[in-house]
Amino acid sequence: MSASAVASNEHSSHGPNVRAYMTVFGALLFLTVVTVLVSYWHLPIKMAVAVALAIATLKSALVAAVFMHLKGERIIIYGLLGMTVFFVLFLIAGPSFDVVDVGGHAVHAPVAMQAEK
Amino acid sequence: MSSATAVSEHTPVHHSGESTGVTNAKLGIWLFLASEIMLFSTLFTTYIVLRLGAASWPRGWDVLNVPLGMINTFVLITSSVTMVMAYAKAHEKNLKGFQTYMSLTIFLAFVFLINKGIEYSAHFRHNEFPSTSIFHAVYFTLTGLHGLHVIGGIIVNSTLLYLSKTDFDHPLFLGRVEGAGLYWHFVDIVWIFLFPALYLL
Repeated sequence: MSASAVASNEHSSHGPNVRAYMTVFGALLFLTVVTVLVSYWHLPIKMAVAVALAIATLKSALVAAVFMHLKGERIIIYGLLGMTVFFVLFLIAGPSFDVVDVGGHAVHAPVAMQAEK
Repeated sequence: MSSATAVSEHTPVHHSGESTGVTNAKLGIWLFLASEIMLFSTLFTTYIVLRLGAASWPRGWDVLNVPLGMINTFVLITSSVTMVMAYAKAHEKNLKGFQTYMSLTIFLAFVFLINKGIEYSAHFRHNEFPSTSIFHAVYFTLTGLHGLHVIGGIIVNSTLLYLSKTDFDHPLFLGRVEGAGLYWHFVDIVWIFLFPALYLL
């Protein structure tokens, strides 16, 4: 396959879909409003984190799939991102388990707003 | 086919991508974004570790301007749409349309920065600095680094807007717009996580 053929095939395989862009735009605005409204309920922190993370993940997935054209992307990009996600999860999980024991009690306890008061 | 022809077909190695199915430029951008994901993940991990280990942590709405943060979320999401529309117009070979949407994207990026500047100046007026507390250190580091990425996006997008006057029909121009778009959408995704993590939890 020549260089120009690769470039041409690349762009034609996932050409712009303006209707999909606008649908995702509406969904992103709606989900942002939902995120803010849910925060006004002042849910318990664990529930609030779960809801906020779920909505943020859904919004990001929409942006990545449609705006970044990951939907219908080549296998090498999926592999690259899959590897990145694996290391990200490892990166977040490792230190987090180090700080909090199984029962959820903090091992270290710096006071976040200490210097302010 | 002579050997000379074979060489000339393979000469533009900077965008061949024959074994991967994607252009080298696009693969390069995705590799760059992978490193960016690791960078922001490291900072998010720092935030999580500090928050999990803290005896107390302020709720975002008590110390930050949620309405302004929400407006900035709308601004950045809209700029992502104008960016992808600029790509669509470049794909259609519509120079005027491309320039309009790219200008809008740059304008919205400036609106985002101005709003962030208003927020920062309010913090500074209340003597709140990165050294004030762990929360403020996390807040200023994460939003500051994100702000630097927005500035980077403005520079890249402004360059493409300028180059479109002369290079719009260049065979590589569309790929460059796509690459800039991938970066800009990544900046949007980072904010999609930053906003609830800092303002709403």
